[in-house]
Amino acid sequence: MGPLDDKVALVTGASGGIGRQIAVRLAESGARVIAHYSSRRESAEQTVAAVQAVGGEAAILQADLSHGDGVRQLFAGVDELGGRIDILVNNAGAGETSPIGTIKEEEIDRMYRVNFKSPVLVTQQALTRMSDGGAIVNISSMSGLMAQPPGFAYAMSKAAIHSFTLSMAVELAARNIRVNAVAPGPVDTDLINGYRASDDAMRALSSMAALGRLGTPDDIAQIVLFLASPASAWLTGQIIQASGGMRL
Amino acid sequence: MSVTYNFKKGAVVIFGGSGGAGGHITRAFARAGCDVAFTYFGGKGRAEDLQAELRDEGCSVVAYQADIKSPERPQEIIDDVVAKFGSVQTVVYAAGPVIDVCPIVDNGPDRFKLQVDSELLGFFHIVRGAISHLRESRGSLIACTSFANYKVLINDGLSASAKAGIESLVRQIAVEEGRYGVRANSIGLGWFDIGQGAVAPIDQSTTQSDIGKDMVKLMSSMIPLGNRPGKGEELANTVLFFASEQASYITGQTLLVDGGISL
Repeated sequence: MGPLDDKVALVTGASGGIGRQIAVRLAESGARVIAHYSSRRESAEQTVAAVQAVGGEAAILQADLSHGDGVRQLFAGVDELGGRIDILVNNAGAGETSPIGTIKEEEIDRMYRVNFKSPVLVTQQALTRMSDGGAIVNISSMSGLMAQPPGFAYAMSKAAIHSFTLSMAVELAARNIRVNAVAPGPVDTDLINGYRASDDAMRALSSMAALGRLGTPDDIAQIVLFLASPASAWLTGQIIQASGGMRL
Repeated sequence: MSVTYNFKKGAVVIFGGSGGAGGHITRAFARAGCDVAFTYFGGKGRAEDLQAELRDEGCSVVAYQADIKSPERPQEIIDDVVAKFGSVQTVVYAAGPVIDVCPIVDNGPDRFKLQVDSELLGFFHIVRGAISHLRESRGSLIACTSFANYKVLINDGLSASAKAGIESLVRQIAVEEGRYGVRANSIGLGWFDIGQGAVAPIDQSTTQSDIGKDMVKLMSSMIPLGNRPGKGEELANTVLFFASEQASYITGQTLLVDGGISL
């Protein structure tokens, strides 16, 4: 028995480090998980294995969420799995580190499509399948709350998700659907592999947090679990910074 | 079934733990199996009732009378709790005097000073009394504050001013004490059916502090989730989460538990 028994949770981007651990924590608490992935099937299968290892249940669905056809494809798959969603975790996203001087138009478009338009379209589809009393958790980023000169397009797309979170919280409150966001700082996943060779860079990343360490996927997943569960019944429109105390 | 929180070893101390908000927090920690110490200021009878209620349930709970305006009293209490239970993992501030709701400038300087002494300075005394023990346990500090610093609530300026100071202290502690593994966070309460916002369960025309029918109606209409005040358990759940190991990477934050009233 868990707090999410009989719930169905859709987690986008569940082949990555954070998405996988979110899937595991939700499943461990009783939810049946639909784990979306974009291209890394093997990683998505590892997510299923990790979910099964804690006694949970997960199905995987592939879709390119950067355009509407891909979103429709995802939900055709959701419908084959029963067509019901109680918890939506908008976790899928992509990074971008170009400065204003050199960023290409297609890179700006990609940020808009993948980090901004895709969660909106996914949410739109999910809402037609979500019962009243559901929960939506958007994974944003500390970047959406602070200056990030190279990488501004990424930061802008995450700031948009914060704005989306606020508006949806008010709009969907009448259906008792709660909408919150988790804004991670640097997390120890494959995404920071580029820094690992340099001790100085790793130290600099860790020292951004008052607690002096990188985040772990489980730091994020535990907060998502809280926001998905009835324990947070009175929380909506909140952006929880999961950063170990960054930018204080 | 509810979420199971993992707590560090050690007792939880709740200042103002017999009050409207504090009582729910005290009950929740005690029922989660923590050793709990709570303080009360004037409400001895209510504190004794709460202690008896929880002891009847088999909980480990001890009550202290405390005026936190005293620089020494919080430290005395926390030292005593450590002597009794071995360590303290979480300190919660849930105190605060009842205020007369009125435009801020209608308060005299003495009333303003009382608010600052009771809340901001009182919280500072708690921090000073707790910090060595929290460093030892790598524990956490949680301050109950108010949504009113995120959306102005007319006639509530006394409380909001003092609580803004508390949130500032919390952030300072989060950064300065982070190196010792101590976390510090604030939880901004919205409008609850407890304490000063209490609404009689059947007839919403009265409140315990006589804030008035129109105010209750107005406040409820501002709350997106269900147009109702929050419940004590809904607050307590979030306090437990922030105190737990599940929230081990959250520090220096203010989370508003307000049904969306601040949006």
